[in-house]
Amino acid sequence: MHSINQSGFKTICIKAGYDLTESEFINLKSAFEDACHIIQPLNEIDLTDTEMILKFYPEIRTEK
Amino acid sequence: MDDNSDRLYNLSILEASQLIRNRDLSPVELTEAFIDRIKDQNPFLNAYITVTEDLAFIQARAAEQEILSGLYKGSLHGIPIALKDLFDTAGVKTTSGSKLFEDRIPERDSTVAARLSASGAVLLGKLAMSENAIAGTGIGFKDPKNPWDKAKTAGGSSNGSAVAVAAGMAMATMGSCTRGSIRAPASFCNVVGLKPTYGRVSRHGVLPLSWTLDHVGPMTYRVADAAIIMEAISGYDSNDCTSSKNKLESFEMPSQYRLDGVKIAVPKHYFFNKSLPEVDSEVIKIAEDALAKLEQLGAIIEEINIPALEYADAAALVILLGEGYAVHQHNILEKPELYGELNLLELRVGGLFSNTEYINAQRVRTRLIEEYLKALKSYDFFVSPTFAIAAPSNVIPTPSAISHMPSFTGPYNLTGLPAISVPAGFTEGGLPVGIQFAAGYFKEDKLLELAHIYEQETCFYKFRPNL
Repeated sequence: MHSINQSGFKTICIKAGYDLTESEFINLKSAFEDACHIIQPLNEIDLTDTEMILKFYPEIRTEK
Repeated sequence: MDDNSDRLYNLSILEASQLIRNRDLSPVELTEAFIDRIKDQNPFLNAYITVTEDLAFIQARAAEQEILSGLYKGSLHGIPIALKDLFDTAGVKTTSGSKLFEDRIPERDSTVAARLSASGAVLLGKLAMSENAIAGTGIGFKDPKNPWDKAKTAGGSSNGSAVAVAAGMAMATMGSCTRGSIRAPASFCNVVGLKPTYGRVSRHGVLPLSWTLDHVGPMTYRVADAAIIMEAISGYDSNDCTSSKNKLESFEMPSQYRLDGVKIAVPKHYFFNKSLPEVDSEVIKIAEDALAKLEQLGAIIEEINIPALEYADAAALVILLGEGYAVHQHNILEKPELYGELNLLELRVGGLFSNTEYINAQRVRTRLIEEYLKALKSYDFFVSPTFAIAAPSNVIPTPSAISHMPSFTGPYNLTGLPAISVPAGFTEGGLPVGIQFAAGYFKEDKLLELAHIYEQETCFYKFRPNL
């Protein structure tokens, strides 16, 4: 499981504009660590040849 | 199981519409049966937030007069339906299951509400849902109960929509789906849930969660009923910039219930992988039985590999919560007290993802789409279980967006391919389980045909909860 440095996490929460109670901070840190674990594969996949294509669905504008 | 099969609230739309067209059943009588059923069951099941009884009877009486004077509008004329409470309805409260919108009364109908109304459907009311279509129950709102076991969840986020159909409190409902919010509750409640192709059905007037993942679609008792709803709600809408001009091909009842030569792909490495966290082997067994049934009907089943599926959950989580946070950012910063605890927590997580994570999630999505398009050159359909488990306990608020359980529905929100959940059997504990079919872009007609044949050959729809 990901463990995030407490002061570093506080910094990103402040940057996001969050005004958190102590318990909200603890819960958010735990949920974010969980989420980071789930999204870890995004840091492992080789996307060298893959662009971000904003037109996701090539057929969407097809007219019959 | 329900032994009241002769009750009006257990009819399919197809059956009821034939009776209405032949003037053997009055829309007023049918509406009355559903209003009575809602009064009887909703206090225990919490499917409805708002019941529009007066409006329903006004619409039913109008339908009756029109039909008697020879103005029959089609299969939805006089049919009682209901909408998830994020579809705007002019003059009727639309809350998104959230305290933020508890008193919100839209001035205009959503496109879907307007199209259903124009088809002559009768609006019974607005349905409960997970708060803001994400997770948890909004402050002051009630959590719908699963009619098969009230101690189990009905899923989310279109839980009220599934419960209403399963319990005979509406003939059809509309849901919305960002990662599985139509198909998962459908699977948990033994009803049909269809997520159409991205762009097929207008989202104008539907409160958003994630612009690139959101879809809307029908939830019904039978597959043919979903086809009837699709005929009414599909089509280009200039008010929705993602709306497609691609025309819906009509669903036609197959002349024979065979699937000879139909090619079905099964990415077993992902959808049938018992080693993934929390996947229930009983659910896998039911899905394997479904595959055997399809093969028995003549389909060619082949195992394929779609490598990007391994990254789909990661991509979907970042996009859903990232875009969800963007939708809610102002209210989260200014009025956090109006959000339920789980809802606020998960949206705040969405606000912490980096630009790089969001962009890489969309790049994974691009690759997933490319891999599915390649597979569609050789195959007609994809099959998988709808959900990794049967309905879990409702003690912990579900669903949570941040879950280690693999999502079997999310890949079709990422790709935008149409997908449907159809009743496929029951666990030993008596809980329903759905099977998911997916097809190529804009192939809803073929998808509904496959689902209809499977439904006719298995008949799990006949089981209704004993209430």
